[in-house]
Amino acid sequence: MMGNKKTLSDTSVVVTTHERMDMLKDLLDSFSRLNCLPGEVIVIDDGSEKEVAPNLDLDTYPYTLKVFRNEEPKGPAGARNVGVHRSRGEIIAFTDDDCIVESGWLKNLYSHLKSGDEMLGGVGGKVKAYDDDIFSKYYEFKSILEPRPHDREHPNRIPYLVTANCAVTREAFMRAGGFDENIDKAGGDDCAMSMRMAKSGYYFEKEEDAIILHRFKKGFRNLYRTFYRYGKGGRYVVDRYLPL
Amino acid sequence: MSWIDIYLSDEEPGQVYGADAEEALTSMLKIRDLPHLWINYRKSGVGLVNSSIFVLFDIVRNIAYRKGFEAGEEYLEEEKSE
Repeated sequence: MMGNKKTLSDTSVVVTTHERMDMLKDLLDSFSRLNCLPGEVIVIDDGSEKEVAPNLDLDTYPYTLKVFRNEEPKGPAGARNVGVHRSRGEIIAFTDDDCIVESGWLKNLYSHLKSGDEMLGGVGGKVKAYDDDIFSKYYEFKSILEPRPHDREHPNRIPYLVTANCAVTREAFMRAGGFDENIDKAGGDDCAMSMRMAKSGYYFEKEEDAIILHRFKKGFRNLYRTFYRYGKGGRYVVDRYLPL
Repeated sequence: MSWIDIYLSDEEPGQVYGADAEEALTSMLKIRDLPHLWINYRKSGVGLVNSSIFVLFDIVRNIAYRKGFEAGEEYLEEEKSE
């Protein structure tokens, strides 16, 4: 127990970061406000020019914070694999450095995952917009980072997880081989990881009460770039992993 | 977000795990879908101006996704050449 909060000692939260120090600090602060704290938070500084660790006071957080650094950026998939290998938890939660978690986030992902059978490999949460601009409204309205249920017989199942907001069991993750590092940019990497898990027989469910706020990028240029990356990663997933 | 969502928006969940790239491309947004999108935004309570902007975003998003999807073929080519 840290203070009067329960610590979920068998959980690790893995976050990768690259050149977004201020946003990362906001995320780490939001972890402090969780109603159940993680056993540890693993931050992978993926080759940021300004090193992350010296700019964080690790002892000020009410949870164990560990920072590791890749001198050369490996990309989000490679960096997350490093994070998982550095972690100890049986349940591994992922979010991004441009997110803020709500207080029940971890507890709700954890409880849902623990309540499932052994083939429930992961749980995905709800992604709301942090800002109120028109681009953020669009992303939220279209639920861009929330895969829709796809199985009429199992209406709570989702086809894949999104690393902005999900948790997996270590066993499922390791058995599937983790993230596919051939995808070296954000977009499709989480889907590919999910397809690896699905090929191993695991399935995924939605947890509506595990909520994060995401800072969506603004402007047409970013809108185009984001979906270009998603499309590119999506093609890799189709060619490499489908049909299951 | 991936091509899978585009399938799901067409309410064909049975195809999620069974498609190939060609099928995915043909299932992406078409110009004739745009009025339906706008109407659906309005029915969902999105304002007149924002509904129009959302359709514009849908167009940009679809062009970008399709270009990216086509460019993504190189991933496997790189893998084969390694």
